[in-house]
Amino acid sequence: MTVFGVALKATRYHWRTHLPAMAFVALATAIVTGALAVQTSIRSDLYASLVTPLGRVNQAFVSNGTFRAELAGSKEVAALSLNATASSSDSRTSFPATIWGLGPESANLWSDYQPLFGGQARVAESLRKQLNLTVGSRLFLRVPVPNAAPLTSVFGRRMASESTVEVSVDVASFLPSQGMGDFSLTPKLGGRPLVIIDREWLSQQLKIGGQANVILSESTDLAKTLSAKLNLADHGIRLSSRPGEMTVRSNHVLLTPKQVTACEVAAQKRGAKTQNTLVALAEEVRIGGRHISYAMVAGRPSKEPGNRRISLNEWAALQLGASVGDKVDVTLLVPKSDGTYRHPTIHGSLAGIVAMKGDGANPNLVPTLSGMTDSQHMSGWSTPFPIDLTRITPSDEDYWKRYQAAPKVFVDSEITQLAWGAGDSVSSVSVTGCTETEFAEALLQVLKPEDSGLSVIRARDNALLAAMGSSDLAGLILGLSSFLILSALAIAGSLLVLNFQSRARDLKLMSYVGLSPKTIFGLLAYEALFAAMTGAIVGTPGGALLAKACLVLLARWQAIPSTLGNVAILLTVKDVVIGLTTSVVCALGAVLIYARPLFSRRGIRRPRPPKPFGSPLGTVSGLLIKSIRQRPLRMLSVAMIVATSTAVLGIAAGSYSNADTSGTGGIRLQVETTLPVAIDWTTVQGRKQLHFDLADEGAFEGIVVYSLLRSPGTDVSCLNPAKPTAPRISAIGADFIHASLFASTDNQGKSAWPQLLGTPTPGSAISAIGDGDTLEWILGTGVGQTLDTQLSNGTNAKLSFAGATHGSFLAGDLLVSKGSFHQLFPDIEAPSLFLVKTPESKQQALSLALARNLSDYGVTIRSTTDILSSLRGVFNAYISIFIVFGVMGLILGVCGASLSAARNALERQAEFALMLAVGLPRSRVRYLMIAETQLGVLLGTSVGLILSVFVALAERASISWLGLLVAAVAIVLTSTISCIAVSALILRRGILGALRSE
Amino acid sequence: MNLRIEQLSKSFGNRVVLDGLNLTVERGEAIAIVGPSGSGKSTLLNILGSLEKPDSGKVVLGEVVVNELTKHLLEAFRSRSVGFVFQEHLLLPYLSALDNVLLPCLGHPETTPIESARSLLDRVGLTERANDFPSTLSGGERQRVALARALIHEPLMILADEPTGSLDHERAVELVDLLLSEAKMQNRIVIMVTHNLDLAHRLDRTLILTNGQLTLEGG
Ligand SMILES: Nc1ncnc2c1ncn2[C@@H]1O[C@H](COP(=O)(O)OP(=O)(O)OP(=O)(O)O)[C@@H](O)[C@H]1O
Ligand SMILES: [Mg+2]
Repeated sequence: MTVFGVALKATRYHWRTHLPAMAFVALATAIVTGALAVQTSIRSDLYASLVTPLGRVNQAFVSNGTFRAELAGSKEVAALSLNATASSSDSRTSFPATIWGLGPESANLWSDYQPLFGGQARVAESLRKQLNLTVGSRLFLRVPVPNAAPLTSVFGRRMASESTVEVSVDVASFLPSQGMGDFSLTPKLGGRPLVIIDREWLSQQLKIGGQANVILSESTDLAKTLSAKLNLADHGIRLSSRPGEMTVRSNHVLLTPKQVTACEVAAQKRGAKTQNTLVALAEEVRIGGRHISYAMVAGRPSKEPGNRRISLNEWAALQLGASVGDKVDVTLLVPKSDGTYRHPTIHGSLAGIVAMKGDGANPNLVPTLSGMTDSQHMSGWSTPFPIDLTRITPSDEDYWKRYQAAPKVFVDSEITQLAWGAGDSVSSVSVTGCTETEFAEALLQVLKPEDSGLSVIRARDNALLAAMGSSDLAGLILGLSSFLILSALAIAGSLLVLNFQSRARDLKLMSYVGLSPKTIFGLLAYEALFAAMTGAIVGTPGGALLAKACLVLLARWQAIPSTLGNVAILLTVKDVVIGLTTSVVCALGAVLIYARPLFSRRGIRRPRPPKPFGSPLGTVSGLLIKSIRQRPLRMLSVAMIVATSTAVLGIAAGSYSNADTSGTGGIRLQVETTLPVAIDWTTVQGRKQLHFDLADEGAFEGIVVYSLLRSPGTDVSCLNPAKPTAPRISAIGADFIHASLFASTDNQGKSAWPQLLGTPTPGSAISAIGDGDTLEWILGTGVGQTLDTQLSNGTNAKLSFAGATHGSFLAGDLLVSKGSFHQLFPDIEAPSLFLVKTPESKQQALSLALARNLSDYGVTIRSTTDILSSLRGVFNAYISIFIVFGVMGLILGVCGASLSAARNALERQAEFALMLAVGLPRSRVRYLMIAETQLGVLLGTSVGLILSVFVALAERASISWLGLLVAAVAIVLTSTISCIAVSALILRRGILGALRSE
Repeated sequence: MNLRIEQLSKSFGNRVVLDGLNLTVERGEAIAIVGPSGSGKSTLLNILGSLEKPDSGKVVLGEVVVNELTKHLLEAFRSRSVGFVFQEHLLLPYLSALDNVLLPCLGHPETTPIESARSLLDRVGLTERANDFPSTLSGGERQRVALARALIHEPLMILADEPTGSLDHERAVELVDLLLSEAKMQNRIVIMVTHNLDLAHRLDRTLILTNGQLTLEGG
């Protein structure tokens, strides 16, 4: 016979009386465990979607262009990853997809990797559904050609049909989701579906055989292993030598500014000199009545602005019969945003004639322009711009045969820059004064990978971080329900002690037979522990149910992606232990507090004799005050629970976000494309160039479009349950800034938009604007603060938040100016996000027209009100949970109130019996029994109301006065009814019994 | 070895309950205390059992001055030297008869005297009922279990406050005889409070408590 054993027997004997207490402990346990289970389950699902698909991949080495596939070591996998659009033979629309060209060595990284033959593809499940594919289906992929000329330059191929290659593949099998099918370097849920094909075959289709743009590796220090192996070709740099000089060119048409600087530094090291060139194409060079057509022009920087001195090579001078000092007209081809070309003519004077050697006949000054420099004949040119082949003469062809693309005209690079858009571009650097090997060695030493757009993405680290989830759901639920958990446990504790008190005789007996207070306390503590444990254990599976209900509701209310609603609930040992311990420890704590009056320092307290009650003829209110003064905590605890839950309800109800459309900024449609659209489809001319259907023209009348450049990266809004590791960044133009579509204020209350306009100095923080809630809750930053973050291209950026928008549908993006964006993502030149204002009547027609005509670009169109309502849905879902918890709190509050009334009545039944016996009316006695508790409820309700109004005013939220009133009346009414019911029960049974036993 | 009470006084507020009371009881002696309601019989037993402290005076059991013991020793004294039997047969409903007898040993699991508990049940005639629960025992049986419980520590002194109050005459006589035999066979002091003079007369002496003083019946 041990204390433990006796307590166990006591618990078993009294289990019925402990049932209510156990139920409250079970409720608290269910909430705690459920909250933790929600978090764990979401995290494990995120892990399965974000981390598992990585296989053994740890890091990835990526390039804006391409590098040699053999750069990959034996344990690494060279890959070609490209955004593309996919369509099937019987689908009229195409869907976005990400192509991964992989080789058989990928089996090192994914144990379930299945090697593919050329022309075969493994396709993600999601694409199978979209395109209704089966094994053996033919899939058409539109893949952009890597290393192409900048889209916005004269050599840029802006039509999707020109800038992409269509490859067709046969579907060999499908990729499971939460496996390789969800593979992505930037952790992203519901990203573009994957299509895996053989890399070598793909590179041949794209005419870049042996090239790759990603190396996937198990290594955690890929930067170190690879940077030692990089050669100039991997940097996308090509050295070509001719007697007496050499030329540095980029495989990606233009050298990056950092590459140009590196060339200068390397040349300086070797005591050599450099000369930068930017080429352009002259449609015509004319002197007097004679002209030549389609001549390459080399632009050289001079320090004088407006320099119009022009040189010709000897061949051109001969053709034009030119002599120094003649007036020369050079007509250039300059692209316009609508897809057409300007033909500006530069008037200059002939400053010199260059001999047909060295610069005068150097085709190496011109970068590889596919369709032109790789053509055998000029008449075989395939150019992105319109060309009149009849203007090409036999002597032009002769020149092409001897000197290929060697520039015939030399001007200031200010002039050739016109053909490339704004900036300071360089297409080649000539180096004189050292040997090729000397220079190559020096250049390789100076060049850093990031100078050439090469970087390492820590894919696994990012995925692990993202899988932690964007918001602390467990914290949120626990925070919302903490008062509920605590009051449930407090009620449980007080119920347990109430049970002990009703067994005062047993306690007295124990002390009479000589048990020490310690032993008696031990017995009670064990009994409380057993009851609490039982409740907690019963509550644990309830936690799983609650978690499931939470997820299903959150998914139904669209606060989390619907797939998360189907997630299997995970109860980890850790969560269960935390849930059990929290509730058991808190319940025992409550028991300790409530049981204190049972024990005195000297041992068990004898039941106190009822205090003298005063005259029954005294005022009833006087009696009430006396009894409250005796036990103030009892009334206050009821008041506290009721106040908190009333406030929670009041605040939550006022925070519901209703169908407010100011967040659209007047914009109706959000149009996203997979491939950037370099031709401005918002103009009539642009649409013509893009071959839009003429019949659709009507739909485009009266529209206003803001075109945004957009980086890959993750949605930062609350719609994304994964933690964003590389935020998606969009670039807005001056039109957007001036339109003031959304209010965004800085900390001084001034509009923050103009702050984006200034030109950013390289290296300093970049001004950005984001959604206020996103900044605060997801990115953990705010207006006036800076955020260091990795970008989707593997580089790092420092963003400084000039202001925040509130309730805008653009919450998923961080907005920067186009100038800043160019610094962050130099290779993204054309917009892929379009915000369209259109009359409501045309919205439907416009959507259809855009879906049809932009289909090659992989277009997705959503109405901004849809986006807003899904964003608001998240917010409202949390509010709903808030309200559910508030209501549960109120139920508990009412339970607590009637319990308190019951205790009051039970403890003082002798008093009340006496009062009845001396003839006080029953109603009076009843009033006395419940007045104390009701006072607590009233006090709690008023404090709660005042609190919620105060918070609503401070937050400038709308107040639902009617709602508050209804809630308050409901609380007071239910608690009154329940108290009356409880006291009536006691009045009928207890008091008469008490009277008899007196 | 005897119980000596010297000049014991106790009052509640200005109401004097015990007023310089003296009494000596030898071991093996069983005495009965009678007196009107409210005369202080229970108060006297409580003081003897050290549940209550006297205002003045001494309670000496053998060599021990009970009312001068420290708190810690007092507890030990109470559980080792005194056995209580109450009017209501207070048993814990969730413990068997045997476990109820063993209750005073709770907290000292290493020395649980199961065998002596069985022999005590034997002594009170409940050998067969050791594993039965209080709800299945009659009032007299319960009171005998309570007596066995009072005896578990082999106390020097048994204090019984109206132990027969809820029993019929036959059962009451049985119980009083049991108490008497405890005094005689085991050489204990038995002090029993009762309203029933017939029962009181079965014991060695009958004392009347009035005005805070004990007087011998008929004395
Ligand atoms: N804790 C206490 N506080 C105040 N007065 C008390 C207390 N305990 C007992 N009394 C008073 O002391 C007096 C003696 O009480 P006690 O219980 O000893 O009487 P009793 O002789 O046992 O009576 P009964 O035969 O009715 O059981 C009574 O008048 C009682 O009111
Ligand atoms: Mg009494």
